[in-house]
Amino acid sequence: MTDEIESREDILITRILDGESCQDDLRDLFALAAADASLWDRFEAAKRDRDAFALAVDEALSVADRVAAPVHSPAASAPLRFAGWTGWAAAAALVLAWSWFGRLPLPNSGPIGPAVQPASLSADAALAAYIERSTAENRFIRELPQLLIEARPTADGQGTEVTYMRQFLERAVVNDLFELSTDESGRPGAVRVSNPVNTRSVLY
Amino acid sequence: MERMESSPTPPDDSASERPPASLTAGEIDALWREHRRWVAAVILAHMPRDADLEDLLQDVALLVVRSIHTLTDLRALRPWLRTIAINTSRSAGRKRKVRMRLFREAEDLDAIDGAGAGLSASQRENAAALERGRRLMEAAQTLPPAYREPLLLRAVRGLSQKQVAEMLDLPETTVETRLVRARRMLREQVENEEAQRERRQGAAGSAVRIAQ
Repeated sequence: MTDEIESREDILITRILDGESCQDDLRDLFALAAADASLWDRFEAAKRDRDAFALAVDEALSVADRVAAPVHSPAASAPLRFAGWTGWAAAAALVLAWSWFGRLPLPNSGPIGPAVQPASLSADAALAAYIERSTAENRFIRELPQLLIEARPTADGQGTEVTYMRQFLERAVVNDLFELSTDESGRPGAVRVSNPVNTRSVLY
Repeated sequence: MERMESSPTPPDDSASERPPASLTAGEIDALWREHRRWVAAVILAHMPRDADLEDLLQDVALLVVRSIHTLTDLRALRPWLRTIAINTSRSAGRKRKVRMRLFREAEDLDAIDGAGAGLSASQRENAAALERGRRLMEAAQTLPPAYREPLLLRAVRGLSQKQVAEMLDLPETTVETRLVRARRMLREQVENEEAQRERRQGAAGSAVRIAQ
């Protein structure tokens, strides 16, 4: 959009109302008003509008005073925690992979069943095997609704490529439960949960 | 297309000489308190009309706490905050978080009208000014963002034209020109609306008289 040339009167009024005027501006405004006294009515109306607008903006922005920086919130430092716990995530993924392919026993899973060669299973079949096995072990609870991350047309325009997240709910019995937390500097760390009633992970 | 801010602003707080990665939680909190009002004004200038300002500001606050350590120089804090605020506002446009903001405002106006009988003259004057200001703000939502943003930022207490120009990375003269034009457009729009309302009320009054 191109900037049109604004009227000298509007510019002067804006400068004076905003406290940005110099002596020459005041002199010029009085000179214009000497030729057209109705300028003072317009000046007064502009001042009323400016004050009313500032009042309404002030009211609208007052919500900002209620919004604090979540410096102590677990959600605020979630990515850091994730980074610090990627080793655990990798270990969990490894366990999951073991269970998928049925090559290694899960904790308390009893004797190993007939070995299944990964190459002989499709991804869907391997996943089905994992669900079947972990359900039998009272470990698998259910799959959560799939979460769509991204959808975009394929390069050839023949379809839509979707990226989505699949999540599985599992249960396990553990000796100790740790909760992710941060110290006063915001550094992540683990704290043993002494009373684990209704404790939930903060990784979400 | 929104430009990425690149020109650093002058230091504006005591922690500005320190690398952002070393800021304590208390210092981040203090920085947020110092800047959150004008950040809210930027969001207001760019967010969809049916989005909720407080929700978006909370999203920005969370992003700031999460990623302020990635900022290399606190002197670039204002452009950085503005970019986050604009991006958050635009993503709200995609998410379409629908809130009944307009209805809520209408209820507020009804409350003012309903309580009008018990107000003093100065309170009634304030209420009338606020109502006029709200109409101007509604009108401001129809302006292009290039005009709306400087207009809203200039209405934030304590922000000078020079600071607004620095935030927007524009010459002061350009900011002044946009302010002048934005105010003129607002005035004309509200005057048109008031004239239309008076015409409608006049027509309704005539209809009532004819019916009687």
